[in-house]
Amino acid sequence: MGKYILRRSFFAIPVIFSVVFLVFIAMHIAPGDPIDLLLPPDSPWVSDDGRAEYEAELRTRLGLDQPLHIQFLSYAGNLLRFDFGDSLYSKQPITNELLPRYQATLELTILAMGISILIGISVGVLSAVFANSWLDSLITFVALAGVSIPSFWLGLILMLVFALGLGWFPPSGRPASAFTAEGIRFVVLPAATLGIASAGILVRITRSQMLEVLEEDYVRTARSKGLREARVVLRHGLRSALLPIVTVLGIQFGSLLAGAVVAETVFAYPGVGRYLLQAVSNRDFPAVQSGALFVALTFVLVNLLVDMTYAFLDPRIRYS
Amino acid sequence: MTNTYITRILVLCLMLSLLFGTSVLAQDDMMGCGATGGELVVALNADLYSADAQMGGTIASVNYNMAIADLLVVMGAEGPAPWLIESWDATLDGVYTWNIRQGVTFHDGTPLNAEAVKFNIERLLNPDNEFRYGVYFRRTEEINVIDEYTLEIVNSSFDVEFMDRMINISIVSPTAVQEMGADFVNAPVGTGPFKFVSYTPGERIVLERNENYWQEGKPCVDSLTFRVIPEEAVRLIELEAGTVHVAMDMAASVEQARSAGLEMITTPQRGQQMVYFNLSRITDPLVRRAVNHALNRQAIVTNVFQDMSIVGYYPMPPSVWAYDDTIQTFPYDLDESNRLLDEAGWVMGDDGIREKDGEKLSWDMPSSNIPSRQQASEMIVGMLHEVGIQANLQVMEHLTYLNSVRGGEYDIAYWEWAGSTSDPWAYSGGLHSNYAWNPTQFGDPELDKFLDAALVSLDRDERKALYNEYFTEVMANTYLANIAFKPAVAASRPEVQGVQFLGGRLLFESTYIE
Amino acid sequence: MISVARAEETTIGVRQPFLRRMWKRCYRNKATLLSLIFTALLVVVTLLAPWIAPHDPLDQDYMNTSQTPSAEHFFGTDNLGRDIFSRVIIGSRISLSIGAIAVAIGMLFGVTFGLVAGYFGGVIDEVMMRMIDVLMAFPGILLAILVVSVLGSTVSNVILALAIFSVPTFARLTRASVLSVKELDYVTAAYSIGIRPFPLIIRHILPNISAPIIIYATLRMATAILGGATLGFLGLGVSPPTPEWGLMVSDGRHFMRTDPHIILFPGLAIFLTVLSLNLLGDALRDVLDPKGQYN
Repeated sequence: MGKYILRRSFFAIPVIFSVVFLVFIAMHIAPGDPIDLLLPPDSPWVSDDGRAEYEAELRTRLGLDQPLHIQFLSYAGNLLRFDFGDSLYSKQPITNELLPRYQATLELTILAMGISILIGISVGVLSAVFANSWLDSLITFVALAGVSIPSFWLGLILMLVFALGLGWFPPSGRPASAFTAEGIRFVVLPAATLGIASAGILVRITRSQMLEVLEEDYVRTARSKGLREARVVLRHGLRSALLPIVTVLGIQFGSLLAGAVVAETVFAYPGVGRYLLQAVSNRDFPAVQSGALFVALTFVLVNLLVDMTYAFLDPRIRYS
Repeated sequence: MTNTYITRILVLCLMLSLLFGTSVLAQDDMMGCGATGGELVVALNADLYSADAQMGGTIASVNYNMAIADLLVVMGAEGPAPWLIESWDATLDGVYTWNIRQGVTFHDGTPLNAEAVKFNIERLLNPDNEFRYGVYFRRTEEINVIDEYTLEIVNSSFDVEFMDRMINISIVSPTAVQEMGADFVNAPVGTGPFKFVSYTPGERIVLERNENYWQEGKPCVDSLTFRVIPEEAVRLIELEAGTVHVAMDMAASVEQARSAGLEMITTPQRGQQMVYFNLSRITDPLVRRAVNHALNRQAIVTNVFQDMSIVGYYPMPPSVWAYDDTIQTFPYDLDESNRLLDEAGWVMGDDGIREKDGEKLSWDMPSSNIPSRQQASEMIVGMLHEVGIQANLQVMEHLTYLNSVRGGEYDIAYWEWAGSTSDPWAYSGGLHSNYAWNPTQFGDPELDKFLDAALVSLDRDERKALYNEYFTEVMANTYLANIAFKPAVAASRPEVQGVQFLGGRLLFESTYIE
Repeated sequence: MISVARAEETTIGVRQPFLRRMWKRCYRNKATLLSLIFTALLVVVTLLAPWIAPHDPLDQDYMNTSQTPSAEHFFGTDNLGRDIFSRVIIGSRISLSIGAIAVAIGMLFGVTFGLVAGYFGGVIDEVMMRMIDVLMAFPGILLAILVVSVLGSTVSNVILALAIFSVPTFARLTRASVLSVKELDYVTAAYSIGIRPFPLIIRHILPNISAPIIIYATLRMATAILGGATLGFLGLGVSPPTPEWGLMVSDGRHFMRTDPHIILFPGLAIFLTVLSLNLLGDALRDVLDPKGQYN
């Protein structure tokens, strides 16, 4: 197992490199010029010819006048020294800006994942056990509703109902970490918005896997041995059904992390998704690249964890 | 020296213009605090670029800047009005003398004087800092401290634009900058009504009352918190929930906000809404005139700006002193529009699109993805379709759109600008052949002359006449199509009083919670 | 061994009574029947859209903005006075093609990748999955944002963006399923009697892993339609005035308080389409499931 982890970690390097490279290329070939935002917002009307000169000087200073490959090499070189560069706009080191937002997004994603697993697996099992009953139909319908609602709309509705209408939670913001007494109230609605679609998917996957597993011979055997139904379902059924569920969980974590951008925008939550979106539209090259790098590292790590869990849960799969 | 004579006349003119500015201020001063104390929460539509007030940025940033660090001048109803610069004069050589307000101290106790202002300008000009407002001082050759409170700026030439630009410049404490170096951004120090407490990027900025503010008895509230809330619908919900007292940029929610019992605060309509033609492609004046008649300006005002805008047929807003109501107007008239297109030789095709010599009347129209611009563009597409012009709308990211428009990669484009000045020089319409901003790809030295002359004159009557001649010519050729002028719109809760707009930016020193 | 026989039966069993089984299921399960009818209706509407729509979906009428539903405008009008019914009808073409084409492309590439990687294993697996990892390492919607930023917001670019972000999940899911199927006795047996890889994959592995893929594809189509809407919300979707459902919902959000009908009908269209696609997926799963015949 240790050797396997080491090997997988080693293979992550080219993955990360490719991500950095692709994002770099994408950002630089995209139309739009950051210089437009680096000059005063009303600068279109500057009658002064000095603007062109100033612009050229700024471009040189930021290295934006260099050929692409030179720019990439210098960026990659800095990365190797763990220098992520400064934002073109705030002039602050990217890491200063990114780390708090990264923490915020991780908190949001983990809580959404928690909500989604809690609801998804328990309701999914329930649905499978009572397959083809009215309860099953109801669950299926609600799960589908959760999956089919655009999350920005769901977020606004949740905000209207639970923040404005009932006043249970504050509408938006993140004054403190989600894991503090002050902060937890603020993260509930965004995490629910984010987690509901994912819960719907988990309900469906859990249900279908459970249905399959419950028909397996060994589950029948367990039943025929007179084991309690709950024990059969959970010990024998759920454990075997977990394998595909875990795969989906890994994928779900990814889509939660990505989907966070919507919840972050709606709930004015200062996360990495909103930061990246803003950076992309501002063409803040270093910010986009480093932001993508952070997210990519997380993804690779999660995938690694999923694969390890996978190997752990299904001993049939042997890795050389 | 004749120059001295001229200067005296100029000073006189300036004094006159300042009178108005000062009266705006005097009015502000009279607004006392109806109540004191409390924690004011204000929603911004975007994050700051930086907590360093000299960094500048979007209007959201400037709202913050004004709370923590005072501006050199502010935008009055008729050009720049005194703020930290109490009065000034200028010569046609480009020498500006600034009299700095006395008795002002920074939050760290450093006194504000000419030396401090000089330090700030040099900080802006230092290329290592990459401050965007440095560009305004490109023609500055000397900065001389005349005495404790007098600063002389020597520019290579004079124009009215320079002082107007100073409405963007915030002044920060030189001592703090020198002592903290790169850490200044984490604890910025200005002279403003509020002192810096903390900044959580993308989330909130917390400020507290400056007990020693130079305006006696201000500010009214104990603390001011700016929250970053990008979605307008969410700002509205926060206002209704009472968790936010004031929200900026609420133009799309006027109806909903009013029905929820909120109050709307607006500026005079100076933000420009217009249509650019790429004049290197759309060369037929008849066609451009037809477009002018095809635009249902009132519909755009009603539907996109909820009747907060006012229709205008040429680029000068009525609230700017150079406005003239004798310039030609282009009422919404489909028959006239169709007639003009027929006259130009474009024949209506079977598919509802006009043709000429086998070529369709089909235009590329880029639009920014900012909702109000996208919506106005959508409406214009519909209006052009009515008279047989096909506009292919391509919505893109704002920077990409800027690039296309600046580079002339379009046929027709809807343009919007916040209008952060009240001087006519900024409303010339992107037609000057030497300006950095010439989206029309147009150049006419004869027309340029009017603008050049108006920029270096301080005689209002002369300037007004120049702009009139200029726009008479521009509109006779319909080089562009103006649509309307919009205000900045903020909303506040009913218990909040004394929220002021100063040149499109919100000011909170006189704001109090009942 | 019995597994070989079972595998043979399985593949044959899938093909023959498909329609009959589907019919039986519809008979038993009314939800399936309804979803089938809705989907059929949707297809008809999509094909006949221009003839069904009573108004031009782009025609603006400033005298009649934000009208509630009436005999003249079944679904009312939007903030620019356009007929929402016509927009929803014409929009079915755009939204469905975005969903279907994006998922089809994503599935084609993803499943192929997953099959090859999972079946051959070893270096091939390692290399292919690292390629997928590169794609996986981008959060889906951010990948789409990048694609649209670079290429622009046209319908085909939005489809491309959504397709690319479907590929890795299909690939991983397929690979995972192949891995568990590959270890089954009948596959090893088939392999040992010398069946060549290609027929083996097509005839024995693919049918056995089709259930999760079909379930996933139906869900994915929903995700793609919603993804289009989300891109619209983030300002990077299909260009207006295209009557795309997602765009209509995201543009209508500004009026959700005063004129909820503007967002209700396109929202309902998305919801019902996604719902029936999912129900259909469920039905297909039950019918196609090779093990199902032993129930």
